[in-house]
Amino acid sequence: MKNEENDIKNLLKELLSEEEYKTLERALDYAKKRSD
Amino acid sequence: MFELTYKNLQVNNIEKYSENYKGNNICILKGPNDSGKTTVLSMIKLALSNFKPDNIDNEIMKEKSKIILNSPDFEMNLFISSYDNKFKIEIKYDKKKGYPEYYINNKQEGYTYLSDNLQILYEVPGEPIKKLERIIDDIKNELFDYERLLEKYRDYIYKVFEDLKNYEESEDKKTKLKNKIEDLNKKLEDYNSLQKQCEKESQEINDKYVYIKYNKLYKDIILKTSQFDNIEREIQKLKKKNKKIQKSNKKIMDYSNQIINKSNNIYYLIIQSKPLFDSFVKNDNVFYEIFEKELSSLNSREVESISVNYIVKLYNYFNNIKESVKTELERKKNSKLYLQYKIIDEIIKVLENYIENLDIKILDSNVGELLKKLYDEKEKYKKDIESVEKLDNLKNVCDSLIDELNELKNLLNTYEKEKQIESDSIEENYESQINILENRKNELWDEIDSLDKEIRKIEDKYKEIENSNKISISDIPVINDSQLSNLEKELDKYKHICENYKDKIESLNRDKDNQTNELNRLETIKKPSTTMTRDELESEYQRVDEVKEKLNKYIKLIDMLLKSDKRGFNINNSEIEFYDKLGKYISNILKYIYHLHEKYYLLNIDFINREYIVRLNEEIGEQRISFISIGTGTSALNGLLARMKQDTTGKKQIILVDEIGDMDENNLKNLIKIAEEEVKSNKLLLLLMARPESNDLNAKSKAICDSYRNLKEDETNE
Repeated sequence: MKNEENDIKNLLKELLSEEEYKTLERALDYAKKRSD
Repeated sequence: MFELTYKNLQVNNIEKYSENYKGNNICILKGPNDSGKTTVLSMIKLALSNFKPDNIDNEIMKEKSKIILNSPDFEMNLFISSYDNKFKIEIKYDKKKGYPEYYINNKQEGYTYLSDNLQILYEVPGEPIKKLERIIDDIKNELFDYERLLEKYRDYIYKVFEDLKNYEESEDKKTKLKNKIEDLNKKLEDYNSLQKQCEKESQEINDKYVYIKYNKLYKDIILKTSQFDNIEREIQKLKKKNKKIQKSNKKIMDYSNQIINKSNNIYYLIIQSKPLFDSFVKNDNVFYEIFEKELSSLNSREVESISVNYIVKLYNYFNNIKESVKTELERKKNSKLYLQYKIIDEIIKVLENYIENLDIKILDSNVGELLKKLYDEKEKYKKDIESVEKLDNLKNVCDSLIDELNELKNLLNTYEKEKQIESDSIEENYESQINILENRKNELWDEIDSLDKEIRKIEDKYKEIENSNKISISDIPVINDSQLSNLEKELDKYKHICENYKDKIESLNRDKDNQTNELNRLETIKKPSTTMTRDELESEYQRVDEVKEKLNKYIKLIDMLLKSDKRGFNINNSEIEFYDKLGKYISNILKYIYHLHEKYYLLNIDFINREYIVRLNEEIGEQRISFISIGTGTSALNGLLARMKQDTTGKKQIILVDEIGDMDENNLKNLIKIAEEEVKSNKLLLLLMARPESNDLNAKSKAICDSYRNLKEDETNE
């Protein structure tokens, strides 16, 4: 299980632009919905 | 000396673990990965920490200790003695009892006493680097997963884009289709109205036509039925006349048969009697003509072959013969001779018939003798009498023939008369007329039948019209063929127009059906569940690609970090920024590192210079610990040596070193050399080091405790 600190999203939030990060979040959301 | 035994440890791969370790004061635990080396070190550390994992600051050891204590029946026994064997520690632990027993120099003591007399040093020379590499590896894997995930998301976005495009286009099409269907409905309404009007007008004309047609047919049927009856009556009359003729014909046939039979009889009679005539009649020309030439005509089967003249001729001929015979016969019968003969014959008959006994006396003899005399006498007359008999026969034949010929003559005359009657009536034969009339009658019958069928077809319709009082016969002053023909033409015209309308309506309906089907199909195209517009989806698609590209680049940059040869870093600003953010991110996860038995707070990782940026405490500023010093074990060695040389105020030392494979050979030799001195001075009780062996070579072997040779030799010497 990941905790919030080592969630790689934190790193990517720093690395990507805001728009890019939102896109990534949507992709994760899509993956989560698919796995549900 | 060092000895460790344990049992009932519940871990995976326990079958690979050895439960018994024994060695001298400097020992190397050797064995393949996952053979229990770190577990042994953790077990010793746990035993020396009062079996309380929370007392252990190293995370790995803390986790291992928790696993050990989770085994419900776990038992262990640890024995350590100094080089001179004067200081002994024995620790016994049984999980079921729940507490450890500490013995120092064979005397049971409390844990506090033990901790007061013992210092434990634990070192994992390469741990911070290993940990770092593990995290980086995890990040790389996660980035890789994200990349795959983005690919799927990109496909999804593409599909949603296509679906949305399809949906929006279908919406446009639907609007157009709806307008088209509306237009078609209007047209259909117009054409239906026209069709209805056409049908109505056509119906009115049809009613009129049916009415007239029915009346005309009705009249025609009556007329033809009347004609039929007249012809029938005429035929009956002619048939009656014909019956009379048929009767006459029958008579002629009867006469004809009688004539032929009679004639044939006469012929056979003449033929049979011919010898009689031969002796009496002269065979002259007349005889020849009668008996040879024409006689065969009497044997004919045709009445016409029998001539009345010939019959008359025969009649006369035989009549003449008869008269001659008669005269001759009378002459002969009146002769004395014949009379005498007759008397004799009569006497013979009387005698024969009335006197049975021939011996009766009569005259001068008896009857028999008399009869004999009479027979002889009769015989004398025989020749003469035969000619009389012949003449008699001839006369009888002539009589018969004359009678027969007379009858034949009469028959022939009657036959001729009847024939005359028949020939007279031929002119009055009505058969052909009857045939003609019958044909006409049949024709009329067919015509009436046809008219009847026609009228039956329209009968219901006619009655309906009649009952509705829509049309009265007074509306139609003249019923004639031209009127009907005109109506038929008009009906055809309307039929044609109505059919055109019907075709048009059908075509429009087909068109409408097609459009409706297409509309229904389009209705099934649902809007994809997205809040994004097509433009936004397009941008999203591009952005996904960009993010994916970036992740791919990050993976490559991380790969650079994981390479064994880290030299030749030639990077730009964006990469510097990436490594900086990566360093901060990892520092935030690790938070601190243990190095040289100090807990350093990790501030950042300088991947470019390959250093940890750390701070020991608030007072001391930032420090840098190079990866190399950790990786070669130099820092660990220096740290250990420093602490070994510190004054422990009489405390004995136990040093546990994991993963000495990460320490270079020189540092390791240095450590062992100094440890040897410390052992021999009885300050260091145990230096236990773990080193992995090749998995391939010792895959099935268990970990063993390999004692340091020099100490062994010393022990042997002692």
